[in-house]
Amino acid sequence: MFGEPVQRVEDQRFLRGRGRYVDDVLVGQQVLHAAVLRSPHAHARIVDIDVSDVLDVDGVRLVWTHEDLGGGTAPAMAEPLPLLIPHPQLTHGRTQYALAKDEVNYVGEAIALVVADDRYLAEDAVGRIKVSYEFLPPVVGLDAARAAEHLVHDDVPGNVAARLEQANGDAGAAIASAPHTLSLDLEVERSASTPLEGRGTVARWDVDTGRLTVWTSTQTSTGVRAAVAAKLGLDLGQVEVVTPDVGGGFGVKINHPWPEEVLVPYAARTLGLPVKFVEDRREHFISSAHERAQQHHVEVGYDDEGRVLGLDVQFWHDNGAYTPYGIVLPIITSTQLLGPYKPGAYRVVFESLYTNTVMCTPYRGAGRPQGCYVMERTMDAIAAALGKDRTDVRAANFIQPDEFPYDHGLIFQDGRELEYDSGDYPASLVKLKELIGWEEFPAFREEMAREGRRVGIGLACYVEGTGVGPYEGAHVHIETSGKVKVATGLTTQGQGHATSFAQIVADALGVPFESVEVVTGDTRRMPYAVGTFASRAAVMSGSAIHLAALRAREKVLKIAADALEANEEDLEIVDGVVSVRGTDASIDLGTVAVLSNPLRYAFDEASKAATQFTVGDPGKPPVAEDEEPGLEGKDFYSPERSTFANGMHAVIVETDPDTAEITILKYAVVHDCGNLINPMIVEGQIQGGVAQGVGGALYERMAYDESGQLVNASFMDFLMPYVTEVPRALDIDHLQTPSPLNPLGIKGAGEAGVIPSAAVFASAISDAEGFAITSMPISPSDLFHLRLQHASVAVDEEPA
Amino acid sequence: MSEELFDVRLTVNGLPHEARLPARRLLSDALRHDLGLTGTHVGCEHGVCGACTVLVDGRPVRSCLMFAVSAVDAEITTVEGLIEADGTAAGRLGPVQQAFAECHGLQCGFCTPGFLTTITAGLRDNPDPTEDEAREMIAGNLCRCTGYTNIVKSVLRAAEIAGERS
Amino acid sequence: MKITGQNVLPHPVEQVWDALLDPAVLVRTIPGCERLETTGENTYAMTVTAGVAAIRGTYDGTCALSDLAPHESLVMRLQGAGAPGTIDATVHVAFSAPSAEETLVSYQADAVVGGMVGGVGQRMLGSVSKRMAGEFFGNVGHAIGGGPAATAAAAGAGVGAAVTGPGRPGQVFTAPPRPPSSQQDFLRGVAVGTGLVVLGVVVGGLFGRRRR
Repeated sequence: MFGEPVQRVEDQRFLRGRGRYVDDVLVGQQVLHAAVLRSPHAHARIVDIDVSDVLDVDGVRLVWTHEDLGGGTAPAMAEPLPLLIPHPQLTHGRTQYALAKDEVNYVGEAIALVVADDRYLAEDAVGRIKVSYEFLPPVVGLDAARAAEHLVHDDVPGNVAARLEQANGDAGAAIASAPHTLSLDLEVERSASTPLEGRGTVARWDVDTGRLTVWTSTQTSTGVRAAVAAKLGLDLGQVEVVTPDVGGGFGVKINHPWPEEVLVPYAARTLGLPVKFVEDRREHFISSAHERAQQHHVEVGYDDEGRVLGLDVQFWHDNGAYTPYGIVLPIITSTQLLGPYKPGAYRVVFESLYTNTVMCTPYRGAGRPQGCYVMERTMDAIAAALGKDRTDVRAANFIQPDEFPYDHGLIFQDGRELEYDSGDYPASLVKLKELIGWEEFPAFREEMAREGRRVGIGLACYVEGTGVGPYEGAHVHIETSGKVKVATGLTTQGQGHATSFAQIVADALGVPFESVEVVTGDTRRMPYAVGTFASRAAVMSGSAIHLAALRAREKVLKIAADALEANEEDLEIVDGVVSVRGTDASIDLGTVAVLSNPLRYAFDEASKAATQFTVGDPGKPPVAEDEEPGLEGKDFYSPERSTFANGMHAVIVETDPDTAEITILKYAVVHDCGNLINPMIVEGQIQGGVAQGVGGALYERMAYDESGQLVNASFMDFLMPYVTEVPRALDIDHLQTPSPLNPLGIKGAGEAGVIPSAAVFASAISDAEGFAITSMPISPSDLFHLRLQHASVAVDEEPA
Repeated sequence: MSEELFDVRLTVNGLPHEARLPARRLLSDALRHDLGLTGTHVGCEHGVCGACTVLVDGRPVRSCLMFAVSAVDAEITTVEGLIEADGTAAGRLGPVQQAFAECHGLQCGFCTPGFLTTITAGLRDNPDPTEDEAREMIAGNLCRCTGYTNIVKSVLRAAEIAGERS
Repeated sequence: MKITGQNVLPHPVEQVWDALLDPAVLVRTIPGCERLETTGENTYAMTVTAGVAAIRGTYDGTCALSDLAPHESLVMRLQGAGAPGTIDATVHVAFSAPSAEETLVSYQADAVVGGMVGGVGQRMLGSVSKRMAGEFFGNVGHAIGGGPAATAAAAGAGVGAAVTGPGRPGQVFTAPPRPPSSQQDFLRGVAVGTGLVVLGVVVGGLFGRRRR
């Protein structure tokens, strides 16, 4: 079944309206509802909080502020939320409190929690809380953060959370001695994941068992479990996290614990009743997380062929008001900026800066789109300066197929070496040019020009480190019914894991696809896990599931060989039946499962076969020394480093000479993610990523005003693409250079579609217009103004 | 301060449901929490994303922009009501649902109920749409996962299946 | 938890002082007070029904007034326990007279609240306390002012008839159940009921003594 476009099993419940998302949990049962009072100011000291008017709202169960956290059994609740990924260069990391203590640093920061009998009443109560503030000057945008006239945090000089430099060779010297040099300043603006389902958490404290169950719309069940246990002063074993169906994550739900993720369990325990929090859309805009905002300065030295001899990149990263995710994002930018190229020498240095805005944590691509943008604009600039074809300049810089594994001499976001394992970039480029019609384009442009139409073509290449560690695990259990129950601890947000993972098990075990049931993100079923991010699920859990299924298979064969009195090598498993090759002797998996557990007590007809007077060699122990009863396989996959997928996108756009409207005429993707488990699912991921990329390139930005107010915090003003904005002609082709790092040869695919979007559109629009595009996103309005600017500059500028 | 509650009967998917609601309860919340029909999802609560779309007397309506009490005289259809009877307890997927399954028209499934109801109504008005018309039909619903390509395919496939079944 | 506040009563400080030391006044001015029994000099056992947010309940507790500096200050120690939780508060009350016909009562309380009611949040507790204090002093003001309530009470005569002076040990004062209507009606009802009950107590006591 590996490689088959199998229809998804999860669709059956989704299509019937029987998905179970976090707001569906406990519907119809008694559950209280939480609402949060959020700061309306970007930077202020809290002077007073007056809740007296809340008393007139019926059904309010509690109103908490920071002072109510931390007493008695849970002192950790009063402390800031955890800094998830520490780094020695993150010298001034800061995280928020679950409820603001004395100061708020962004519009949307949680100040008070209300729990009431229903959501409407809880929001009524929130509306009646009166807070008085002492305003402080807000720092908004990278320019203000860098200028540091005001500080976000009093004890963070210059608003600098971290500064990190990495280098391979002496870029400065290489640039100084290069035949040609260029300098570029580039900027990418803030955007956000914006899944259709926002955040939510439900918690229930079971007083009979002393256990807390938490349902939360997350990308990491084990992360939330550990954080909640730590904050509430509970043993890990007292907390279970069940990830419900999740309506999209795209990175934003990897951050944890949200304030609500610890407050809701704390409230449930205090009140002795289940509590639910579900945010609304505005709250998602102002109190979840954003990403992407960076400013870059590039110095590059190159030769006559366009080969990069030295590349020096300085950049400034806007991390928002807090840094729970450490500096992983700018580290990814620093390292993935290199793409499929091998510059002679490279130096990258960044500063991660605070602003009084929503914090920045990973959004699909997670720093790679910015890096790709910078590198690809640089490549285009070199091509323009030399008057060369842009694909030729790329080709001159590619790492060649025989140079793998290629070590860049840098440290990647997983703390390990940045070493590319496999890929064939030249072949990908050939495919891409064919797919988009690169050679035919000049003729097409002339034809369009005769009609008074303006078109442009662009391309962008990227490499993506996927399958980041530390590990994932899997548990495969063959039950006496013949059903195969599989569990892995990472989570699902629409990637179809239950289907693709079942395909892997069907192959590894030889069972019908329909007999396999996969559960993800439930700490009761698999408590050792990391999470879903960095396009790692297929690689990490796929590999672990494959290995665990093989372990189960080993056991099956051992028991079946015994039962059939045959040699293991002569056995095969097809459609859930073990048979001796070439004979009629067979035994089905369910019976093998019965036999695997020696019984004293039968509980049904089938189980009689495993009882002590029916089976077993009286001369041997019923369960052999290094065996366990039952038919289970458990295994983990923990690679030495990430495995590197890559891709190339090309686009043909038309720009209206009068209105500057930008229309996508054709979009092509060549994608290499190694072996494909389910091609239909992979294509779906690419299509979705491309659409998100179009949004990020042309429409989406977070519009903050100088007071730190997010003025477009709704779908009316934050422009996500509808069907009308995505390319009609989207051609996808695959290359498959299997990964040598895992048994199935898989690489990640989840983020691929979105990484090169900003770059490819900049490339094509620049080509259409004849001037360089250096900041993204670019809307028709932006393009219109850029045209006016450039019209007043000397006409002898080369197209960039 | 206690809200006045109203006894209402909502007719959903052909069945009457009694509920006791305040006037300001949104239809989306009433369907989900008071009636337990959680298939209708809430994505934005300001009428833009379309995830909450249900059919009110056959026409697609944003249930987040409607009060439950104003739906008392209407026939409401939600995603749960798109299942067709086939003699089994579970019923079979309607043509639009079936098409989505075949064409991989959904990933996380959150926006899907809104698309299913919208397209059901759309195909009633235009049983044999062109690709352009199919795109137009879904141009008011947001999806963050699929990029819409397969949803457009699903519309066209749904038209086919409906034709085959009738 | 610290709570501070002040209230102005439209009566001379001597009357306010006397009212606060009168259990018959206390039983019908403390919000939710159902029963008050004098257990010693200026010490009482009480039963109070009160609510914070959605948590209503009945508390049994004690109230002791001490450090009495007539017309200037006193300290009140409140302790109570009930199904919703526990309270232990020490309240410093100061009196001043901004004018001859007015009294400014300022209080500073240090309170520890435990149990379920403690979980509702410190600011909620603070707000409830302020509201109850406001209600209390408002009631005291009305009680002193008399009005219809005073004339309906048959025990005693003249303005301020509701004020009967400090209680004697063993004396029990109860309040009738509260109707959910207006403040005025409620106070009137309380006063009538209390008056009758006081009468009844006195009479009952007589009977009781006779029976014994």
